[in-house]
Amino acid sequence: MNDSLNDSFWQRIEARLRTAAPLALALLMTLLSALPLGPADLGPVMPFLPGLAVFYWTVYRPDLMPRVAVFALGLLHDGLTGAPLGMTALVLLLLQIVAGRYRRFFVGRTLPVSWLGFGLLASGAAAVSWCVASAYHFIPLPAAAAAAQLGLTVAVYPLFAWGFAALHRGLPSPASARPE
Amino acid sequence: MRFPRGTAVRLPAPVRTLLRRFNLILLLGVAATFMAVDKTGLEAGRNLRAAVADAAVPVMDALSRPIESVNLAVDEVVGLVNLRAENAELRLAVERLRHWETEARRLARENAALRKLSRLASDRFPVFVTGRVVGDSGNAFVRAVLVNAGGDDGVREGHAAVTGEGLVGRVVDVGRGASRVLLLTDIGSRIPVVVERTGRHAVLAGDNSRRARLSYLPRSAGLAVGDRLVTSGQGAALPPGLPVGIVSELSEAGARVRPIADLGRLEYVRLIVWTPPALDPAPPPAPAPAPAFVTF
Repeated sequence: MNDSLNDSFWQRIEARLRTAAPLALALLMTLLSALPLGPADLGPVMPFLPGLAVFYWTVYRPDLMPRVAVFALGLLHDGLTGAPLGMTALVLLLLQIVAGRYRRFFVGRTLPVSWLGFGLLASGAAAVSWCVASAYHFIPLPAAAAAAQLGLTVAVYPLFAWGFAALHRGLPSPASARPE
Repeated sequence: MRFPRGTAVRLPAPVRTLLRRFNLILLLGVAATFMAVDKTGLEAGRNLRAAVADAAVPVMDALSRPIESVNLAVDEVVGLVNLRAENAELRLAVERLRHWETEARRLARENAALRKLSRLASDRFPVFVTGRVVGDSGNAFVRAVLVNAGGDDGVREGHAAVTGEGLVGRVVDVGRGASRVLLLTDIGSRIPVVVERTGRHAVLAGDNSRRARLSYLPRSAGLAVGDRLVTSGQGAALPPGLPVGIVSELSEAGARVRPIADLGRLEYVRLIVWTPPALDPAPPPAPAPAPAFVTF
């Protein structure tokens, strides 16, 4: 009796840890996206990593990417990069809303379909970022760096989708994680 | 044995949908409010940003170490390849600098003598705090770096960040152990400068490109390509005389300035802990009246 109780306790802990993995990974990716990798005066040379994570998990496991967490990731990204506080939070939330609304178009489709979908949504997110940043500074900002980052982000999507999918397979399914 | 799981109270579906909607609108509203607070320059916005940076800097510090090692290794290899050319270049540079050393010694002597004559109060020596760049701007619309030195080291908002070559930018957010330096090429950067050759004052404004723009300078100012700009020390906590940039292009649209410091390769920056004389707490002898624009 005691043993089985213990077992179920550890199993639940393990399940919790596994379900927290996507969010932990998204947090790590947010930190990585602000590392000093390239010339600081050229703009970002890293893809918009939090966007990749938020899109994938919103489409395939929305229960593991709660809104408040997306907001917090955005806020962290702004705090790290020095962007207007709340800008990335806003963009990520909008990305999540649109991805969530159209997720049934992506689930169960081949990679090119979800890649195309991500490309469209990421372009929208970049456009919104540009609008928000330009409004913040009251001047239309140069968009070349943003366009370059968008291209890079869309280009690396398959790589991350593949990695996320591998993690996805190791996650407890939503049905078993849900209370009966 | 069964354990009760899940929530005790289940809300009706429409209420839950409403709550979810409200939650979303609330979060979007909070994000927009944060931006508005940030724009107004209220202390709350800066503090929040500094707090986020502060919390993340130890992790960023650890994560960025491998990058530093890789950069060092690459430098080592490139250095070995270019050894001969570099050696010849350095020989020339040494020759040139010897001449300048003589000149500097002569000027220092002359300066000391003149100061004695005019009883000029000596400049206070600024204190330098060296910080490692642990974060870059991962945002396409910001040119800034995160440095692992902050308020605990004496860094304050507005302090200058320099490399051995010249000005990099100035501190905009300060946490306890972290600070953010807004590069002088950022769209929000304004640096009061003076043209070294003519002594004319101007403002150097960034526009997110690699070269900054010179504004508030009349066309008749007689600017030439190659002119050096240094900080004027006006209106900010930047000490005067720091090398800032070189005029690289003159056109109808105005002057373009190439920063003297290599902003593309920032690994360490020095933050200059310096307060302009007028902002000092009152020294024992009757202090000079503070300029009108200074508000406490």
